[in-house]
Amino acid sequence: MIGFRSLCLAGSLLIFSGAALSGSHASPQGPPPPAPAAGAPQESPVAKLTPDDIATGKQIFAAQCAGCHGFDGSGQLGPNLHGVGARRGDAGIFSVVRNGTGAMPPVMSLNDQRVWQVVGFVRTLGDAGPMEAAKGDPVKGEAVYDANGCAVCHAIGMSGGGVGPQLTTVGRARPPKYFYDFLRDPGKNPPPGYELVRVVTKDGHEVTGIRVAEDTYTIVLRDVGEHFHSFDKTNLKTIEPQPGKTVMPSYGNLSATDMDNLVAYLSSLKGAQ
Amino acid sequence: MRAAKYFVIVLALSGALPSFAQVPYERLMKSDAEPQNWMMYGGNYGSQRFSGLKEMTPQNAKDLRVAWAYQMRGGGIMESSPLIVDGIMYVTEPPSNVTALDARTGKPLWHYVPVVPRDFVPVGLFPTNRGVAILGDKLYLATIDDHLIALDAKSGLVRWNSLIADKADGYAITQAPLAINGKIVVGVGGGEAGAHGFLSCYDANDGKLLWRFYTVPRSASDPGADTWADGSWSNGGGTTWNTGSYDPVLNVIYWGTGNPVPDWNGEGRMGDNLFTCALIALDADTGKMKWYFQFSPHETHDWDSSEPPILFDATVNGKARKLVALANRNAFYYVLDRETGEFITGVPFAKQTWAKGLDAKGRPIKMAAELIEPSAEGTLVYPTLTGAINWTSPCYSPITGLFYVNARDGGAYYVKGERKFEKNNSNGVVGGGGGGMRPGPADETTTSIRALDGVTGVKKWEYKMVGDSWTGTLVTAGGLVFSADAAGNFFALNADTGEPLWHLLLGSSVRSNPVSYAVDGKQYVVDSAGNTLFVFSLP
Repeated sequence: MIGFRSLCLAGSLLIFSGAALSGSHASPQGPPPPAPAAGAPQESPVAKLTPDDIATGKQIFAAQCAGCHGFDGSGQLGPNLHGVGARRGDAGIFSVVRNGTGAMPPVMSLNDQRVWQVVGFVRTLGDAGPMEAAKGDPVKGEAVYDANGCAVCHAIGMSGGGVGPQLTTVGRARPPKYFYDFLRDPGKNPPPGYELVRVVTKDGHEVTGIRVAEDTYTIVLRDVGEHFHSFDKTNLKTIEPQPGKTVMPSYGNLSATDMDNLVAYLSSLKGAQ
Repeated sequence: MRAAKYFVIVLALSGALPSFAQVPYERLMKSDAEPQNWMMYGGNYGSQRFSGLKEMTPQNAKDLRVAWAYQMRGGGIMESSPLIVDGIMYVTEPPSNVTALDARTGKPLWHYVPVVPRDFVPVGLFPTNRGVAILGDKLYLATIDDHLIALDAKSGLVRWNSLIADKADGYAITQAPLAINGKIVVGVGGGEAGAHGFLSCYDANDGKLLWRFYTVPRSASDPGADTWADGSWSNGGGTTWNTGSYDPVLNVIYWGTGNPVPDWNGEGRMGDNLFTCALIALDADTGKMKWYFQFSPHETHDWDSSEPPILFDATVNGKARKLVALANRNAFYYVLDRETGEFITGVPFAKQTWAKGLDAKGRPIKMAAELIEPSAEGTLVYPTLTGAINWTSPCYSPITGLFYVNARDGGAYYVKGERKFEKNNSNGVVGGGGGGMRPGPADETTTSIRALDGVTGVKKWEYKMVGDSWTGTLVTAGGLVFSADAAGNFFALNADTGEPLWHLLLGSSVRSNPVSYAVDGKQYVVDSAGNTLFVFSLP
């Protein structure tokens, strides 16, 4: 087939960064480059912050962080931050804000004092109480997970498939409400990097898969069999994003008890082992 | 003087390399007569980024390939627009380093590495450098920590070092200076930290300050002070963080100014806030203002007017006019008479939702405040905070009469923060901003190369890209436009039609302005991706 290559990378799952977050962060003179070395964490002044400081931190958070982490810090595109203080400590949060981590860019538009105020606000998320506890039984939930074949597509630790996101630490990042919503309607808000796209080549071949990469000239999809398909756009008749659709099936038909248990199991996945 | 704190590494000096020739002002003034050289940031004094070279054409562009590449020694992303003079390339690396390369082979000739305090974190900008200026036998470098340094162009040795501003006041510099007749003109950045904007002019021989023009009043009796309620001019802003242009015949410097402070909460600074978000025209000998044109009075979205002003002459309504054109971050394309500042043209070149249009004098007719002003919960407004264009340069071809701009279409939720403002770098409010933004609707931001009629701003063609590209444009006499998409595909388009002719994925984002030069009669095009400089030629 002209211009069509199917790359089957058996046994390995390449990690792609997924679609870049559009809009960028507040960076008046350009988008953020990779993390600079500057701005090493200092001795934490968080304990000395005043209520005014925390209020300022909350305001900065609303302006610059809530787009990904939600106004209440419970996570959207970015992870839930409730309890992050206990895990990373003040200096750890400072470092992530200043230097970025993973898909999160470094924040250069804030001076150190402002970053500490943000850290102070984020600490209040943890102090306000841990994330809402799941009400089901995680042990029974693991059985629901196994019975429904979730491991075909998802990995926990070193076992499972690579079609969907790894779940090893998903309970750390996502609140139970997210799991309920997502399991019932997974197409409504797919995680970044898992948008489904259907293409039709000029000679009539159809492929639907997760958009692994796309630029002005090419697009790469990964189908449910974990095959990569690379296309030159000049050879495509149509490229159709599939909003609302996902490779992940809906589990809205689970009984209420099974759903509670499954959510409890997912919430328990914190990567301790 | 801090010369002792700086050091130079001379890697190699070979007799086989091109010999360095002086670059007197006369050569800069007539730079279009030397298309093989790219002797200043904007290519010529009009910042047209037009190359007179013709070897590469729409017919042979498909054969372009990499001639050589140079990897920076440090990390980060290169944003430098290199100079090429008589076979030697001068390129800058983050934060403020200079490297001289053999422009034919890419071999390093020398490196200059200033000592920048490691703990210095500029507010509101990334510590990078976008290029040097050349005049006589010296290169001129503005450092991130606000020094203007003259280097011997042959060796990279420091000849003088002048402190422009105190970084503790929020100042930081990323721009290339502008060299004119015996003088070096340089601006400052740092508007988010409350830096008080000014433009300075130094003696090219000894680094002595000749004049300084403040873009924002410093006392109640200064011009424009009555456009800042309650003495709020004292907040500062109006920085001059991108390189401007120069008309040698009129002897006038044209420079864009940045946002008022704080950015997103304008309640404490009611009024037009002169001379922020404006184009200022200054007498090059005295620094006195000839005229100004304010694009965005009382700006509240961080839409700096720092974009490079492009100078060209054209016939308007049957009359020959000297013009200055600027594609503004606020999404409007403006054409002014550069002798008088008279408004001639103003039309949107990217999606915008903040103005109903411009009045007869070019002043925006804003939408209702509740639709566009930043709010506690966030107000969706187009363009984004980073703007319909940011620091990257458009270009203009005197052959096609077209203005080529990489235009961004996208919106953002603008958030208003506290109004209180505490000046200086160590105590800015939300980085001096009084608010900020959250990304607009996901995946919506796109970029396109648009070719506009230079006089009317009417779109002749556009080339749509995937993603949020941060690359300037170059146009050549051979009829090509060069730029890159967000993924790092460097490409050539037909300058007349926008037809795509060639592209190559460079493996990282391209965040610099392409330039062209020739050595031994062979044309090259250069741009950088990630930390690597790529040079292209025909086989």
